[in-house]
Amino acid sequence: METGIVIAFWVLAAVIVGAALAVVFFRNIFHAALFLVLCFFTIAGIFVILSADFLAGAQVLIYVGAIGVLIIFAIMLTRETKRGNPSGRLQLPALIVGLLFLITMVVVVVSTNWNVVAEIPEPTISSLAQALFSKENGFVLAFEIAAALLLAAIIGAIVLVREK
Amino acid sequence: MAVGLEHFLILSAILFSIGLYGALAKRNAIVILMSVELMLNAVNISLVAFWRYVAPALMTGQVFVIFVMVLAAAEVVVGLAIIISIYRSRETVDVEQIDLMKW
Amino acid sequence: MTILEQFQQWLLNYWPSWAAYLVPALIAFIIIVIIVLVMVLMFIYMERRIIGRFQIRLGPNRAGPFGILQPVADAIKVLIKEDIVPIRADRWVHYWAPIITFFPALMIFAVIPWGQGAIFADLNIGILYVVAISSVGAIGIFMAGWGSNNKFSLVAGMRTIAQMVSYEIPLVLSIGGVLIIAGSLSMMDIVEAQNVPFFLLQPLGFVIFFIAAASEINRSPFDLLEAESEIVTGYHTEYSGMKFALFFFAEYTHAFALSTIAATLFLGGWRFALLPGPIWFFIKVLLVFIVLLWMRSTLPRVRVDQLMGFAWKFLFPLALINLFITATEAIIWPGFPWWLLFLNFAIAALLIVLWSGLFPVPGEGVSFKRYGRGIAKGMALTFKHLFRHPITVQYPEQRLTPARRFRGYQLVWYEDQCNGCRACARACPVSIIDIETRKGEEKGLVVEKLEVDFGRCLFCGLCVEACPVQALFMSRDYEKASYRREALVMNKEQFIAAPDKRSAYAYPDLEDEMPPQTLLAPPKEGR
Repeated sequence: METGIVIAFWVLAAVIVGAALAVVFFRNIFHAALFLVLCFFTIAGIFVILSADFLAGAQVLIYVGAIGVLIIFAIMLTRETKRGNPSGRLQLPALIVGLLFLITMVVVVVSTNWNVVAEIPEPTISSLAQALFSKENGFVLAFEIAAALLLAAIIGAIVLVREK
Repeated sequence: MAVGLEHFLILSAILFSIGLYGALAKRNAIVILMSVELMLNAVNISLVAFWRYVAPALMTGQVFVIFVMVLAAAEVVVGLAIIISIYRSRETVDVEQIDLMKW
Repeated sequence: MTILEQFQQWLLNYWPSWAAYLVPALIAFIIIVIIVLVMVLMFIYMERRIIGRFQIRLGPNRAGPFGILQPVADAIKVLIKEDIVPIRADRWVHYWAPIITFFPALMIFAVIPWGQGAIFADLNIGILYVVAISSVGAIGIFMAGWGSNNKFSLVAGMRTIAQMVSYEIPLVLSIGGVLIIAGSLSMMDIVEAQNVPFFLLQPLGFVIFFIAAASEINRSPFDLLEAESEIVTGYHTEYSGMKFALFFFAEYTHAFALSTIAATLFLGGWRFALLPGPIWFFIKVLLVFIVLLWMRSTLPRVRVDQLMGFAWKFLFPLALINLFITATEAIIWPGFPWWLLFLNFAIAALLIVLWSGLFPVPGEGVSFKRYGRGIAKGMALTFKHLFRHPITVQYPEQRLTPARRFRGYQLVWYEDQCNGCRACARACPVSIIDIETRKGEEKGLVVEKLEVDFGRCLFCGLCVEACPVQALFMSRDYEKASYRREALVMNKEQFIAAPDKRSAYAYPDLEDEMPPQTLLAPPKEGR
């Protein structure tokens, strides 16, 4: 089982990094959007490796099913697809910042002594539901605020694109 | 060799820096939005990795990821609405040409 | 412990761990794929024959006994067709679209319980997996619409995505009602919790799920965006050969998958008395599929604005209210006793009638009268058709008698009656009658050449009405197709040699000696 997880991780990681590079560097923006969808799908695979099954399902449902479709629609409606992904003026500074950030994070991650817990968690959805909704230390307030935020986002989006 | 916490965190860092480069260096507004989505997903990966390796008994990691997903969805909706209404009036989504507030 | 897991645990005693987990999974995958493909072939056959019986006609019955090999003939036809890619289409997108549309429909079968413990993967998130995977298919359809480089495909692709996204919400909300009663997302737990089948406890949820599922898989009456008469088959216009076969297969696989989900969630899965589980499961799936066929053969297509209005204004609020009511019942009666079904049926009927009263049809009042009772009457009529003998016949072995005044293909001409007056040629509005005469031996004219170009004939019968000596009649023939256009031009020798099948058009007294027309239904009194 261990080797299975290791092989799966390396394959998925390679696909994720490749797809992310394709999103940023491909010139045809529609292909870039399709690679973004592939990236989302593979990240759901990473969640499965990490035993977070509900999050994997939610990732596919929300990101691939909704956000992916929305981004593809928006690309369709703003029609500069063939050469639609040019690079701006800040290419070199952005490259430097990105590399600096990456090197900093890698150094921090490798040199910290994480308290890794050895047991594999039992994936249960009911404990997630308990954490979200229980009275004592649940996140009910944050949940309701998130619901109100979504409502505000929907109404805002409709108002923004309404024809006068 | 086994896959440990560091592997997931380094994957998350690589994804985040690719998204950071895309958000800073690209001209098409939708590509910038896609790069922001990449950054949010990178954060999700690192949150779930921390949950699973450091504190699996406490479900807070997964709850945080759910809220990040909700917020990412809301942000994409509003962001795309703004981009489409800018496209309607300016006929372009190139951020280097949308740099004047009035006209 | 599912059967697959038990088998894997037993194999661990003999084989190394990677083989003990991988090989049974591969075998189970192959079995499931074979089951799905065979059932889809059977569904294609059933669809064409059973819709034929709903519409009082024979379905295809020539390929093999009773037409059983018809799907095989379809498959062979599709395999040997040329695969055409439009010139400026995006090749990779055009190539991957059918694959991305087909595989989510196939992946749903991983979590379907075929019997007690017979499930490929008992995921904790079973039904969430199903909903998530079926929303991936939308991306494939949009890729098909985009990659075809065809404006109609693009518009149809965008509208199809709008349709699929809009109907996903009532679908998921109606599943939410089931989840409140079952208490778990796992498919096996949902089936185990159905001591009373959930369509009794959630009638409104079942109706909403059924309609939303029929719309998700683009079936009639919601197949506006892929029908040939509407938008030239929409997003799969530019596909031919094996890629089109994949789209075709994807539609039927998705229909099969959603029928199995409906049977699992609402009809009780494999549970019932006496017979073993899988048999009841297949019976329930067939029942759901036949109701889908029933809907397809009865109802006309909806328009695209009616489609979106129906999802957002009718199904979505009803699904929300259903969820609220189920949650309230879960608080008041936590065990969900069986007599709640009466309460739920009453609430469902009341809600549907009241909510449809909010959308009055102009000039008629409450729309439930038109749509509810109208649809019910239509579906009752097609159900009665199932038990009638089909009206269509096995042409060309059997032929129906045409009407007695049928304006058929050629003319019947009596040479001895004709006096060469050319009234028919002058009466013809398309000037296709070509007559040349010469002076006869006694007085009068003799017709030398009489040519009629039936490629341009309107079959109006004005030539027959214009003849003053009753020498020209229309015939009751209708089988004159030919391979060359020159054969359509007929001359007088063919008219003389033709068998006497005169039509009674313009000569109604000929009707008495002719057999009457084969009618589709026995005539009512007073006709």
